[in-house]
Amino acid sequence: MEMVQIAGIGLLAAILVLVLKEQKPIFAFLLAMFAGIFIFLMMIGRIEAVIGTMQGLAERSGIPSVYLKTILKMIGIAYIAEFAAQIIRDAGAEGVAAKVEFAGKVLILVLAVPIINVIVETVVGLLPAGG
Amino acid sequence: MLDWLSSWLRDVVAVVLLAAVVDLLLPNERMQRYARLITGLIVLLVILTPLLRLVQGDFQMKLETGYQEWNRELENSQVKMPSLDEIMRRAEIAAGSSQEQVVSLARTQLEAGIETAIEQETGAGVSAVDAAVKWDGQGSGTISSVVVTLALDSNGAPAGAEEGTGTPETVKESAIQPVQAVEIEVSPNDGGGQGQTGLDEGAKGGEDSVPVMGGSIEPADEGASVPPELERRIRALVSNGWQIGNGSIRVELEPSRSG
Repeated sequence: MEMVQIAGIGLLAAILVLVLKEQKPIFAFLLAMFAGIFIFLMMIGRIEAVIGTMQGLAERSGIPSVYLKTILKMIGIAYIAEFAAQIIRDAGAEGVAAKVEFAGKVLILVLAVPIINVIVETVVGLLPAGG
Repeated sequence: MLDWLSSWLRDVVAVVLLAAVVDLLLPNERMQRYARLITGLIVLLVILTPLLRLVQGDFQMKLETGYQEWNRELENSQVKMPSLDEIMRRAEIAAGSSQEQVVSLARTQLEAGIETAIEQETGAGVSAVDAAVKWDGQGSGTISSVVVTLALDSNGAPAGAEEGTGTPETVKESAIQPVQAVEIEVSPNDGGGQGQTGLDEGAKGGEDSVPVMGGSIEPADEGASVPPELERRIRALVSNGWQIGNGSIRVELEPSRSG
């Protein structure tokens, strides 16, 4: 049922945007943005359920919490960056949207640094033992 | 051995599952490539866990500390907005200092007012007025004590007559009268208890103030004490003008340092 609601909101917003675009482009943009935010907020609750499942899985299998934290952070960064970039793209600023995405990618990569550190250290530690 | 193997396998399976879910969760392909790197690294780490344990002991700790250090570095490099608490704390400090300034300003003005009033009304020279004000922190205060130092010379009359005998404190001014100063002290009115009432108690008797000044109030005994007439006038003036309890006003002769 929820899907029907969301589809309806999306369609409605699209039609209104079409109407408004001729008269007031700025309001068309605002409408699109709010529709997007609304749908996003509606779905956040559902995402929460998925994340809860992931957490349960991680706890039961005994994976260190650091991994889960990293993964959740990564998902959050990806979603926020993507969402902002799409809104900005709606406004027509493709360049800015690309920058936002770029920032998201960099931040995700930053998350990988400690893991890479550990792996590299391990490999370096292995070498003398092997040699 | 089998237990260890099964637990390791369970870890690996869980992490791979997790990675699959994350892959699905991610918004679009552009981000997915980067996310896959992370998930791949984590899967790698879990698979390598036995090896890592073998090679470098507690690598989990290392990972944790690595993350913490990383986060701290990030925080340090960011421009920090002060938190609301911090702002409130600073505001409190600033308010406290301004409160102090207000208190000292009020005290100074009170002293100056008393001084000019006494000089105008009685003609006696006032060398200093020292008022002690108790503040309750809410902006209202009590005048707990006022010390007025009078220079006797201008009024003339009191100084010459009473100086002769002199208590130890009061100076025997044999030679130089004009230098001598009169000190009026206002003893604390009441306990700080009543904030504004201290100002209202004008009617209180004056006798309690006496002891502090070595009997300066009784002119008969001590030569250098304030003449009763002048003392009365000053008392009336101060107590009426500032609603200070008469009992808290002390008129005294300051021991003059006569050469």
